[in-house]
Order: sequence, then C-alpha cells, then structure tokens
Amino acid sequence: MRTRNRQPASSLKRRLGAPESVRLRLRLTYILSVSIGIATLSLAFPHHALAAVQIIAHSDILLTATVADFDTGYKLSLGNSVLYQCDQDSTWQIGIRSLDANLGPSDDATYTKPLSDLYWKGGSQGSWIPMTTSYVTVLSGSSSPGWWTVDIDYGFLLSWFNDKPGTYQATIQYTITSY
Amino acid sequence: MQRAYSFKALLILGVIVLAALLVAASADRALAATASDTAEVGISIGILEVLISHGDINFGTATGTGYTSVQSGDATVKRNTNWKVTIQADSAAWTGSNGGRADKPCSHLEYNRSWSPGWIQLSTSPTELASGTPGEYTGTMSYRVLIVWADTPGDYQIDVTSTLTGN
Repeated sequence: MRTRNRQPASSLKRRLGAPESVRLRLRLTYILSVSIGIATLSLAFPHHALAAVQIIAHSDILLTATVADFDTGYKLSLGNSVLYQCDQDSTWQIGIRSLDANLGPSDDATYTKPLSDLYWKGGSQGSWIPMTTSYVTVLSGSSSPGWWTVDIDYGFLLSWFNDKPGTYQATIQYTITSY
Repeated sequence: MQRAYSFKALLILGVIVLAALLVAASADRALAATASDTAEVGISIGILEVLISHGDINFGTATGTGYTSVQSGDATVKRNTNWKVTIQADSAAWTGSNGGRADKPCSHLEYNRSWSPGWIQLSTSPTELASGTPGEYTGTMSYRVLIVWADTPGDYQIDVTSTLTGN
C-alpha cells in the first residue's frame, strides 16, 4: 500500500514533459496553492502585526557622584534620548523597566542600593517615578514612518548614611510595541 | 490514478512551501512588532567626605589667672564610610608676640565635646575627637585657655588641626 506513495523524484521531471493539458492543470494547481497561502497569511496575521518598529539607539549612562550631589540628595542625568523607528504608519507604545531587582552591592558588600533609589521621568510621564521591574509606559502614540526620539531623565537618590563607595547600576530595558 | 496522485502531491508540496514561507515571514514581522533593547544606567560613588570646622576662636583679653571664658564653635562631619576625627596642636607651644612668652605649652588649651563630657588638654599627638558610621553629623566644640602667672603680657596664638579619615 505504501509503495503507491513512494515515487522517485524523476517522476516530477516526467510530469514537466507531460502534455499541455497536464501542464495547465499543474499551473492551476500552483496558482490555487499560492492563493490559499496568501489568504491564510492575511487571516493569520492581521494589520497590527505588520507594523515594524524598533529601538535604534540609546546610550549607557554612568554618572559619578560628588560631595555636592550628596548634599543635594540626588544626581541627575537629563535628556537621554532613545531613538526608535517606525517603518510604516503605526500606533505604538514604549515601555521601560529594570531587569535587575536592585542596583547592586557596595564595594565592601555590606550594603545593597535599592532599585527604588533610581527614578526616571520622560515621555508622557512628567513626574519622577521610581524604577521597578514591571513595565511602565513612557510614551504611546501614532507615528508616520521615520525615526523618532523620546527623552528620558534619570535620577539617583543619594544619602550620606546609606551610599557607601561602589558602582551601582541596573540594566534598563526599553520596549516598543506596535499595534 | 498516477496523474491524479501527482497533482495532489504537487498541491501538498505547494502548501507546505507556502506554509514555510508564511512561518518565516510571520516570524520577522512578529519580532518587528515588539522590539526591546537594554542600556546600563549606573552611578559610581567613591569615598566622599567633608569636615567643616569652626573658624578661628578668639578668647579676648584674659583678666586673671585660671581659665578664660569658654568659646565654642560647631563642626560638621560628612562621610560615606566609617570615620574618625582627630585633633592636635600644630606646635608644642603657643606663639607669643607683643611680649607674650614663646614657651606657653599647647596643653594650656583645653577642649570639650558636646557629645562627650570633660575637658581635655590639647597635645601635638593626634587625639580622637569622634568616630562614627557613614552619615552626616554636627557637634559643638568648646575651648578654654589656662592662664598662669608665667604668661607674660602679650598676644598668644596656636594653630590646631582637625583631620577626618576613614576608620
């Protein structure tokens, strides 16, 4: 029974040499297959999934704290641009979160700076917001194709009592989603 | 039968190829619809410290032997590690001028700390004034001078140094 399903590859070649009526049926079959494929593609992937967006560029930020910053109680880094691209008209949303649960330990490992000591604001968020590991929307909207930027400000809380020497940092994730 | 079967095989093959193309195309599009990237955001903190000492202390004119009036001033320490502050006279004796003797000992200057009772004679050896954990602290230092009959009339001055270090 299974031998009926096994055909050598050369059988296709033989088909190509088939009469005109057979070749026509082959073409019709091919066209039908393509049509089915395109229809399936359209149904399975509606318009919103076709909007192409991506984060193009941004910069790492490493600040250095001074006595004046400690006296002020914070250190700011303003206007950090995140460049993103829309390939076509799209509605999108940019989110931000930390991939780290804290800012890491002091050099002597006796203190861990909490993630909540890192604040940010920007986009549609006009107030300082403590960083968390959950996504928070920075900006949402619609854009025509092109490159766009959103500026994000960062601020570290500083304390003479808590912040022992060390390098404290978090990996921040920017995510853009199109609809 | 053979011919009909071949048509079906071609049809199935076409659908498979299209499905493969569909998966590949959709994978690209799906990634583009949600894109992420990361950045490091950090701050480097070194050893930071501040010692704000009071300014010059002037005892005015002594009117007799014994101790002068007490003069005070505030001092502030800020440091982000454990710390200590020491005090010492820069010289073993006061500098006398306008008739003041040159050998009035530095120990005639005594200090008192608001956070610790008692008067302590100054010396040229660093003496711990205070110590603590990271933070910001302010205290009051008080001073008095012992006047003895050996102190000839004149002006007397002595420099005192306070030093903040890690502990």
